[in-house]
Amino acid sequence: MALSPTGPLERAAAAAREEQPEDWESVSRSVKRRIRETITPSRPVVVVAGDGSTDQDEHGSRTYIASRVVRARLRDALRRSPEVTAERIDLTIGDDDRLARVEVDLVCAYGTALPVAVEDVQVLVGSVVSDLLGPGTQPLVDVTVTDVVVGDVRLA
Amino acid sequence: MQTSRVPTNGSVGVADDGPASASDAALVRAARLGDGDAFGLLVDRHGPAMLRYARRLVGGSEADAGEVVQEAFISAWRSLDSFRGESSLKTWLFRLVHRRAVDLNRHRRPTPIDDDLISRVMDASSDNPLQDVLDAELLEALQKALDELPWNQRAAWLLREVEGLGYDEIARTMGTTVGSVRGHLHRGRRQLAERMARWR
Repeated sequence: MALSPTGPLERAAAAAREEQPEDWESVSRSVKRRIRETITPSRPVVVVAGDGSTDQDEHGSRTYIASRVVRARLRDALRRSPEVTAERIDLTIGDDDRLARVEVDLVCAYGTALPVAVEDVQVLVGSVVSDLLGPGTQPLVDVTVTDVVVGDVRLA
Repeated sequence: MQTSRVPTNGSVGVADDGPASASDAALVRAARLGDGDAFGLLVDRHGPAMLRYARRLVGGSEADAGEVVQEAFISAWRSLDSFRGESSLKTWLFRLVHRRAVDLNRHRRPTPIDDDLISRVMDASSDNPLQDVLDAELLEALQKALDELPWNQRAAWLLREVEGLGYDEIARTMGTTVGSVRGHLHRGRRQLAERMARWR
């Protein structure tokens, strides 16, 4: 049975522990707004057609996707399974603005068949990249399993 | 052994239990990849205690405490990669708050405490108004007593007695040793008890 605090300092400490800052919602909103406004470093990545060309028309127009968009799409795609999730996604972009390499560090659920998971992720990354950056974008995809956790990887 | 087939379509990955039930580690992983919503969950999970600590530490000012906590979270967002999990996320975040509060304390002169700011709504559903008044007065007295304490004693006492951190966590938060924490706590408790004695 918990004892009630009796001394004034103990009573004050107990009261302080119960405090819920009434202006928290305002502070929380402000923090989240500032987070949204934070600029994430990003580079343009060029879209490549199936024939390897970056020209979209006869004038040589090109289409670019920000690397932060590619990374966010990969992050979301790799979070749909309770068995596998990414903890690092690095993109290497060449001087020609093409996506050259994708490196993914994975966290897997205990008991997952790792070779199968790695293969699935390589296929998924290739698919997402192709959808976003065109069928001519075929980067190297390096996958490393860095950790294994018990339970749903999105929660554990 | 279960096999893994990562779905290639469907809704964005939110577990059935919902992201709010995700561990700190899972939310940090997502936030490191730029997931602002995951970071927002961490903000709401740890922020109220950080704000409570900051307010008592900086002398009861809501504005100063809010600024300290905001700066701490912005710093956390920008430096998530440096969080290695050697301490708990809570300890890491409290350390960021503590550093920002130290900076604020260095650059600002002491200001008189607004008594209205010290009185807090204890519990909106409380059915004991007399107890609320007593608690509010007790907290006001506590803040005044805390303000008279040396900075390190004040911080150590708040982290231990209000936020419930262990000695090693307090040492990490304050950037000092466990031995120093014990000393700050011993002296702080004694001085606070003397100042609060008239409430006995």
